[in-house]
Amino acid sequence: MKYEIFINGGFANIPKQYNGEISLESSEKKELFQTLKVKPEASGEIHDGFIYHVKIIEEGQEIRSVYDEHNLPSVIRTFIDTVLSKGN
Amino acid sequence: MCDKHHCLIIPPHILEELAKLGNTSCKKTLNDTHRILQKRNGILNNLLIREVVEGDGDRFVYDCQNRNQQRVEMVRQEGGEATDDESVNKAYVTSGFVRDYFKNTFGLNSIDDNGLDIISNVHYGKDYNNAFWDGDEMTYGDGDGKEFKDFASAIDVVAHELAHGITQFLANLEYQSQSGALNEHFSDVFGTIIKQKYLNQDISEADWLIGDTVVTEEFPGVAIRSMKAPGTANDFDSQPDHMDNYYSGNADNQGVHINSGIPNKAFYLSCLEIGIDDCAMIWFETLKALWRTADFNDMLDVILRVTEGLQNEGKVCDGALQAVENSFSTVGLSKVVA
Repeated sequence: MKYEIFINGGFANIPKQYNGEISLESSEKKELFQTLKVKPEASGEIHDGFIYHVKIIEEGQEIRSVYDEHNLPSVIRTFIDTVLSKGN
Repeated sequence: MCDKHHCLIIPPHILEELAKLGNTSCKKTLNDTHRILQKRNGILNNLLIREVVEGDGDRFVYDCQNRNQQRVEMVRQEGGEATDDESVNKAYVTSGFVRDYFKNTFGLNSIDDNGLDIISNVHYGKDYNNAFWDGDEMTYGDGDGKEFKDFASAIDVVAHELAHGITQFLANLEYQSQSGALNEHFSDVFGTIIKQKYLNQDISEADWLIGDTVVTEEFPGVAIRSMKAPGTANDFDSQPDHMDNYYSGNADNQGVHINSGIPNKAFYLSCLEIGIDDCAMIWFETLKALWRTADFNDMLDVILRVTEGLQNEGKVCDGALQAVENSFSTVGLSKVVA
């Protein structure tokens, strides 16, 4: 599964881009897709918060969403942490 | 004349035009309306209406225990003894210093001038390279130790975040494009002023850097931003110091941390001419007079009007108006003569 993660904003405003491929269990993949399909709830007045742009591509299907610090689902945060921990 | 009840039935665009003409009650209503709508949504969700009681700006520090969750465990509150955790103690001390600066200098009772509790969350997330204000409270990461370190320990970062709260209640500047850049600008301005006060520096000793103590030696730069020389603090610093280099892209909420370099430079130049205390008063009174959608030209109009008034009242030095006008002109913002 291909992914593109772009994190910008934040106090320092130093954008970070992570592109690559990752293998996930089918149950993890399904959960990730389902979570990305849900429109994030509007957040309040976050200043200096990160903005997370997440896109995944699998078998020609592309899905993307944008989150902030308050509406980032734990499934997506875990996925981002997994990608970062692999040093991609 | 426009009172609050009258203004509530007036459309926002008319309130905005009246605010631009200097009507402070309309400006306040415009700012309040947006905030009230947000609050109302929350209240309706809870089906609960509570009376607002004036507080004392008490400090509460929570340890997030490296989870991505706020208020995990309350570890120090107003009057409480120091803990073994330096991040907790620093957040407590610095947020108190910021609160006291605004109280003693401008008579402001905490963030909202109504004694709002000052809530700080430390140790947020794992290796989290950021600090933010979320509309109610402040949150600080520890940094990853590679590029950044403890955000809660830096006086300018704490003052910057707390100033976002003050801006929210005084002007509620919309967090995008030029109004968002002004929002960031005011946070950097008061971050800088309070850092110099905290360190007992005068402007000749100051480094005019923001976030110099949260970057590591491996970080490719000396700080996160520079008021003196925007765009030079680190290898990623793209702040312009003149309208000629204005950023017009969509990133960073249309450049809120980027274009703030332009008024930041004007602030620095003004401080060199008339001193940081007069500038503090001018910028604070200007913030009080701005409104949600104000842009750079509105800022210029208001700051010149405010400065002239303060100068006439003898509250700032003679020559302040000329100095501020020159500073803004140097960064490419000049008064339009009709």
